[in-house]
Amino acid sequence: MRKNMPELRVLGTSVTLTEAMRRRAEQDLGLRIRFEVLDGFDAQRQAVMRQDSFDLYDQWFHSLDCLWPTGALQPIDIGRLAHWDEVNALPKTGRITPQAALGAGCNPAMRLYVQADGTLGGTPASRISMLPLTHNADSFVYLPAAVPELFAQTEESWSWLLSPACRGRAALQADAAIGALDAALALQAGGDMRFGDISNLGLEEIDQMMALLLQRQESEQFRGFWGNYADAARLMIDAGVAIQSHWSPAIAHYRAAGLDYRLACPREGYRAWYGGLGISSQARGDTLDAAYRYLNWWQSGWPGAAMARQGYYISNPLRSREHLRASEWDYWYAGLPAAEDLRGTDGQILIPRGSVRDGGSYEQRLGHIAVWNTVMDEHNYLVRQWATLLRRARPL
Amino acid sequence: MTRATPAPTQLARDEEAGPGESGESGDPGERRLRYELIRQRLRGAIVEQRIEPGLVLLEGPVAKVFGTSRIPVRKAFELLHAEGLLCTFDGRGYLVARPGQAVQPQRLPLDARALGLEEGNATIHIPSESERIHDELEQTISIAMIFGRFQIDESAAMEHFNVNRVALREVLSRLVDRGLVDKSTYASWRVAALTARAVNQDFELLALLAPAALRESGPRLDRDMLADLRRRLHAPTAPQAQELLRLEQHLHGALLARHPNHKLVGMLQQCQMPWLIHSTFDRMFPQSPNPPLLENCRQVIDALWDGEYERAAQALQDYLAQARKRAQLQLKVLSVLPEAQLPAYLVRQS
Repeated sequence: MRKNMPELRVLGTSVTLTEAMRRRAEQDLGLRIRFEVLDGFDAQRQAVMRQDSFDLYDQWFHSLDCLWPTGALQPIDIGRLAHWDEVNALPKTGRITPQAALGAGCNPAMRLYVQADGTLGGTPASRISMLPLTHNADSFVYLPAAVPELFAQTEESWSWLLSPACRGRAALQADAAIGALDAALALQAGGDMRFGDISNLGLEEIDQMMALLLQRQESEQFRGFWGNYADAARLMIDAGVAIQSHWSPAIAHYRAAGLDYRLACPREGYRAWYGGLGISSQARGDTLDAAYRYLNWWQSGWPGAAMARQGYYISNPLRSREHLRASEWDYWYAGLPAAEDLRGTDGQILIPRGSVRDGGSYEQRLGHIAVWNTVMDEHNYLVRQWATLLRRARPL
Repeated sequence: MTRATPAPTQLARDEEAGPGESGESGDPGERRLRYELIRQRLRGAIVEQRIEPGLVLLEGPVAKVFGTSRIPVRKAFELLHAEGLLCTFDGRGYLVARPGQAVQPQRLPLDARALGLEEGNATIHIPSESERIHDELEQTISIAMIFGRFQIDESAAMEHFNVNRVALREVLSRLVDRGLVDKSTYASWRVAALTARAVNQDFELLALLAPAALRESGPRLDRDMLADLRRRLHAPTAPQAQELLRLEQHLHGALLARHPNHKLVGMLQQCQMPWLIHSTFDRMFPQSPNPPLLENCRQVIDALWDGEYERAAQALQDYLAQARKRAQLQLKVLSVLPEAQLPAYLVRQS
């Protein structure tokens, strides 16, 4: 590797910024790459407030609502993307199939293209905000043996998160754009509240929701609120949590700890998210060229396969299929039973033979979206009220 | 029931009262008194012989020069007399003379020059208690409203600003008029939360009232002001964010303020949320690419310059629609700001 090669500074979260990805990217691209790994909200805040601190922003599309107006990112020229035509319909149209539900909230397709006035929208254009990459349909994870009378029900429901049967044993993701939606889905599923639009809460709805959650907090429903999957895993492995918001990479920890966990396919639908890479508005010259190479590398097949082994989909899956065993593709994408034991990103057995993925195939899971992770109109107010809940939470 | 003794900060501070009642315990820089300033300026002029010996000083004309009432002038004269710099004589007023000094009374017109003062700069301005705290309180509340709902603890605020209740309430009432503070009967003062709903409500009011106000106000506008605005908007280099912010504020301030219906103007001035977001956002992200509202501003001003008030009202309507979209986007961004350290008089409500 040449010493004068530009160093790419990538800001993001632990779900995609793994050491294995960094080393492989350096090796494949001949670049120096530095990852700055933060919790999601902190990464977003840093990208907004320290715009000179990164070259690439590896994060969620919904966070564009906080970044794009500040000018932190520069438009990406589709002409410089090697695999753009392979990107499937989900980020381009908002639906995985024409029949699929659109899902409420921050659908990535509505903030993909850079419009003539510089704002983001769904009308196709020659420039995009971020390159769509990893994505998933999330729900919650639970330990069936921990609360058998509740968890034995046939249909899984978000309402379980707030069930008195799980008092002291529930946890939520800490970001208001994610965890507050899990809480809202749970309140609605349990009949405690009915929202006009769960992805765009009004002030009274936020106030009522927070009052109910603070009541639950006082009755010690929540063991904690976590910001990354490692903390989530610790809560379930060491702190007695029986049900909580879920981020897929945590399953390797659960498996290693020998937990008999289950991922829910809630009857109310999944909470979906879409991730990608944005380029700093300050990237120029060699750094900008290197940034485009890094973007194209992400769609070159191997990275998507690595992400599949921790439960994530990639925007051009067929190229990654070439890097997956047939059994891996069948389990992770096709929703078929695992034909053999499947290994995770660390090489350890993650999925035992015969397992079937929650919710089925890629199309089934992404076609069953209740809501996308969302920055809603009253997001600032929600964040400030949500912070009250976090301030009163037990330390992890 | 015994009457509680007012705390020192609650005492009325009549700056024109005698030294014992004048509340001089605060910061000397802030608490300077009018009579004291007048005394100092006259003393300097006498000592440095910028005032002709024998000049007859009269309360009324000297008060006019300083832009004050006669009371502080009278007190300043008394002190200068006690100090031996002024004398009484057989006539109204004081003579500029030391005791025993033989001078002829000079009855000259009393203007700034005659008093040895710089012309055009003689008027003294001492901010009142409420003026003194207004800007800081407004700034603090503008920040706090980003971070949720807060109640204003009057006693803590009085202590913080070292003011009495009357002065504090005067400022809070002005902030109510500007939509930054809420107050209902028997309820406490509350910071108005900066919400998408509040912003939208302001824009709804502006969309209904501002174009109509501009039709009426337009013909009354000063041509020089319009010429200046046009020059700034059409400058070869586009205005920077802060300059554009000031120009946009003109669209809502000076351009509408000439409407004869003051109640209407007052309602328009209450719609502050959009500018709060915009100014906070610009302060935080000065390099951000604003959606191009410069052209919208130009269209409003150009139409006014051409005397086409209907076209100006329509351009203002278009501008408001764009500004509303921009405010909605900017408000979301404020959610990433870490919570500021706020003074103790702001009590979080949850």
